[in-house]
Amino acid sequence: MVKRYEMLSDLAGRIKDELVVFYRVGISCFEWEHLTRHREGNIIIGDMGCTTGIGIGLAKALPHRRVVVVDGDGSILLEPAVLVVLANYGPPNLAVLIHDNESYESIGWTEKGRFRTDTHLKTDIEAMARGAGVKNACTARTLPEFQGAMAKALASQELHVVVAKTEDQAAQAPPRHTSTKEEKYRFVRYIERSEGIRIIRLSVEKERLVDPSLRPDSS
Amino acid sequence: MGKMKPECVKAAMEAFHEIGVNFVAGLPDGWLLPLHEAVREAPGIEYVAVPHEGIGVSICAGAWLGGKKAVMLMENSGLRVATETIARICMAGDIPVLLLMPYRGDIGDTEYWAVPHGIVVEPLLKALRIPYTVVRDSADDLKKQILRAHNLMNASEYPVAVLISGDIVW
Repeated sequence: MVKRYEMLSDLAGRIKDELVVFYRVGISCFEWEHLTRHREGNIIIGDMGCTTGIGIGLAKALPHRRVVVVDGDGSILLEPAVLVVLANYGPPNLAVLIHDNESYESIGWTEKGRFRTDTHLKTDIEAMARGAGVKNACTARTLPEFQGAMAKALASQELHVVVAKTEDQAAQAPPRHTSTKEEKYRFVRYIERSEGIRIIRLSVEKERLVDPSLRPDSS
Repeated sequence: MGKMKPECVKAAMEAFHEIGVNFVAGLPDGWLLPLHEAVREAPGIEYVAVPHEGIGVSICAGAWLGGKKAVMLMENSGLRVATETIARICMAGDIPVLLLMPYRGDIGDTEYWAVPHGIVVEPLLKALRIPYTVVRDSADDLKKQILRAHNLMNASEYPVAVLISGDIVW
């Protein structure tokens, strides 16, 4: 098992210009935000079952940029069909890290411990991904295995799925107080600026008041 | 089995062209099947077939975040499946997606299995606070309503739905 904070610290050190879609559930996102100092290329969005799909769409929209998704075991178990889409339509500029702590982290714990997901039993997400048709899927159980898998995934011109088996631990960073709406605006404004495109268009009438040569790109 | 009329498929494609739609996620149904086929063959539109409408909405949301003009094509039964994703992403984050679906179970539907789809769809759209329009009359109206739905989607930063039925389908 990999310690979660060590895994995220290692990943944070590898991220440069990549866009990172990080799942919003649980405490890992506190740590990611803390480790990456609120970098512009992060978007912490997508609850159970949604995050990898968002990453697929983003990677398809921006094929010249590398996209990294960080999702969780509970999320994949809720929506495993996304593995089918990954296998058949997942773009080569996408790497998906599934942080598999074998538990529902966000609900906390009692004196009896965590409430475990079924990856604690017989279910194997790497095997599910391979069965869906994902060619490059692996499971990392130690930090060196994780480091090797992520280095390969980030350098590759093909889609990769890395399942990292992680240990439970309390959050190593303060909680976030950022809503999904705030995440959206910050991230979209960054994409607009860095790509030179207009995404949010709230008023067509006001654009008509502007000299045509100065109107924003509506592409 | 009914299908979307050819002139209505053409009208929808014209609307997509005017909007600049360049990304479609879809899970086909009988009525919209010709539109799915037209989209798949259209240059300049990337089509992703999804096995689950919620995943389609997630993918469209991600595509929008990256600057794509995305549409989700699905049966109205798929709205029930996509509800979780719409609430978690679109409602929580004000992320727009244009939804186009048949109104199965509408007045005139001949199929017993479609009845629950008709009973649920409008209350569900209202529960999700998704503005919607039902197009039953003509290809011209369909094109106008898709363009208008897209305008409101942009202005509201929220999903908007277009449902088709009646004379849009043969």
